[in-house]
Amino acid sequence: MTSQLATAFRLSLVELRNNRFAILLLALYLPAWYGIIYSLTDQASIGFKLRAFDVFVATSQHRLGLLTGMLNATTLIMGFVALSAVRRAALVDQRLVLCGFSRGALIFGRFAAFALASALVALYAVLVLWAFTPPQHPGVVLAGTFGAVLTYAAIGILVGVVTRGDLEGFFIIIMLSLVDTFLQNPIGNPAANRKVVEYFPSYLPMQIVAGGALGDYVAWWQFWGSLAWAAAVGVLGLVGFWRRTQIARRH
Amino acid sequence: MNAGSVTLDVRDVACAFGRHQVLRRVTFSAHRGEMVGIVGENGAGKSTLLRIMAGLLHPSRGRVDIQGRLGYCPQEPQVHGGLTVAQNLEWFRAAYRLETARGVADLMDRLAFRERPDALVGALSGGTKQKLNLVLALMHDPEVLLLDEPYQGFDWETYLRFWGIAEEFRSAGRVIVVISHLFFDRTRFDTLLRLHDGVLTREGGA
Repeated sequence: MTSQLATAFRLSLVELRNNRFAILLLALYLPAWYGIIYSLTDQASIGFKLRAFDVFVATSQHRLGLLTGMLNATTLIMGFVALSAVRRAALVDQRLVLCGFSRGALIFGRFAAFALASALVALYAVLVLWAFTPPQHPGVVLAGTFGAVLTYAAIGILVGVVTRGDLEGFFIIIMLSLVDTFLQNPIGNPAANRKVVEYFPSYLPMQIVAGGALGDYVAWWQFWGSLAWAAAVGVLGLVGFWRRTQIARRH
Repeated sequence: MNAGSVTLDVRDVACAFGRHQVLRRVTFSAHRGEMVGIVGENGAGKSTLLRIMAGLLHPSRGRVDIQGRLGYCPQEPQVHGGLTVAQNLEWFRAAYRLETARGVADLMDRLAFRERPDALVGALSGGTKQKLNLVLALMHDPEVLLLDEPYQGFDWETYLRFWGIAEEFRSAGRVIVVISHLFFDRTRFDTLLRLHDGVLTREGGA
């Protein structure tokens, strides 16, 4: 079981790394997206409400635009990576279980690989962000970004096991990430500070990222809350994954 | 043959998807060293029967008993397109808990698998993917082989190589069940069965 778990983790990670389109998105799209946002926004001041501290933080449109842009791009990319990995491996995973691979080792190996990939994507996104606007508390921004990316990895897994076609899955991920991050952005949405956004998947990560990047507002419970979001969706994905790799009889 | 040599026993198997009855009371058995062919037109229920025999699907009724290790080769190559040939073999070596990959190289050689181990499987031709699909089913030297259109996409030479390997498995006392919509050479089988409208009937052997 232990060696199967190690194999599942390592090869799942290799599969994610071999997703060349995702690597291309990270290498080209993310910096280009930052650049576009930077060029389309200006230094004009804008307020962002940090609910944990019940304060409005004033910052430039440049900075806030980059932060929401980072979460939008990374959640989209990781949701796509997870969805694509889950769908590509669907039939092989069941065959592996039929051939004697432990279902627990297979699933936990895959989930651990998604978690590590999420951490690496978050780290990369924050490093590129640094080139545009150095965050006040990089560690806090990294934690917030990781929470958002991990949540969307879990969403990608869940969507991957419940949808029938690839296109439907991609559409759901794109719409969800768009609505989630766009509606929280006061630059594009004047009603961004309404209470309803608190229920969005990337609400807590956005709060952590904004608090840590723009000031000294750090509430770690929000980080744990974002991990709880990821875990809750992840458990649903796990149940779907478990059912999907079910076989009728072992030999 | 005696009852003790029965390695595969399919008893009274039925399967329905909703109101559509796919298999109706299918019964047959195979003994050590027996090559069984199951032929039937498209949609006759062949792949469903094989998936039930392999243990991927529950039958609506009936049972399947298999003595020994199973090798299952699905019709469509079920391989990791995003990994290399070597990494695909590694997944399955871990699944079968094989200490060494002894015999795998020989098997690939005999199927004229000429791609490099670091070639990405997603970039391979259909026939080459099918070779890998077959290797993944045979690499642990199973006692019972269930093969669904195993030579789909093979050129003539590879087709003949496949039968060479199948003959060797038979000589070693393995049970081989081959499912196809068409058999070029019926004399290769000890038992030939026809599946029509979910009903299995004997066509006679060579």
